[in-house]
Amino acid sequence: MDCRSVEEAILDSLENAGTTSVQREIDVHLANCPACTTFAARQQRVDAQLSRLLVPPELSSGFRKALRKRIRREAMQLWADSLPEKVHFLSCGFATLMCAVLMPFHPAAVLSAGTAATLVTYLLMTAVRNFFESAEESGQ
Amino acid sequence: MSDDVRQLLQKRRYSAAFERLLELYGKKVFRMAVMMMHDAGRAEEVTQDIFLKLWQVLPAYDGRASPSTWLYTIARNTCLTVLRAESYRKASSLSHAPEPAVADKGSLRIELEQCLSRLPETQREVITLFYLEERSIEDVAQMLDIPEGTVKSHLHRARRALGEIME
Repeated sequence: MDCRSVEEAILDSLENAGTTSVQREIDVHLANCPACTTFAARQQRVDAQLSRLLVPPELSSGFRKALRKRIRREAMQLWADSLPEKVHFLSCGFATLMCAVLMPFHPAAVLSAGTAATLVTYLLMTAVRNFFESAEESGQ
Repeated sequence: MSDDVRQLLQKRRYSAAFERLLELYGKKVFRMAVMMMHDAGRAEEVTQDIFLKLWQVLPAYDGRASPSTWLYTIARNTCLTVLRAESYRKASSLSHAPEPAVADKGSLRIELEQCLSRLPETQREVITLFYLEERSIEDVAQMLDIPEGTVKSHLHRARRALGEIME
């Protein structure tokens, strides 16, 4: 083994335990090579210092609780955000059903009421949406 | 390890998949955030942000990358976004107060950080994660999305350079 291969083998041995035959070859080389002995000692010092000072940190005990709280809040927010669409969808479904049932008896009244209700709902939804959007912008 | 998460996601059991990912990778993501943020307190907040983001996008998982690779990508991008925002805030702020985290560190640790800061970025990330991840080359490779052989060569270069710097 030449000096370069021994240096690489020394660096490898710091990452995983090498085979005993490789270790024996390193030992034989180190016994006759002061430069590689210095290199090995220096690398062991570096490794020891890094192991001592770069200690794996642990999450605090309140981490999961705090995360769950944030997720619950986010879920509530998503639910609240989608509420107008859900209400609108249900109302439309109900109105369509009512129209289908009443149309054969009072077609003119159903058509006028349907048109008026659609118009009013659209204007109301637009006004509510604009109100929330401007409130959100002023909040930021 | 990721296979059971993948199966849960395929069955659309998002809550169970989220819990499994949190259990398997919570600590690892936190350590990655510590490596990037250099502050354990801030890193814990960012880890919360990362898992909140994961919870939001879990239904959009398309199965192309493994769940862990996907999670580490979200983690890296979130840390980078926070770092960019913080450096912008610092740059635009008139007062330059010293960072409180530095005050509690031992002088040896500060010296080590100075030595590490002289390494190229990838070498610094690899060697820091290697020790924070309890010497797992496989984990470091997954976190940084690079092959294990590349991790090893960065580690060797970093060790050689640190040997010179620390003497």
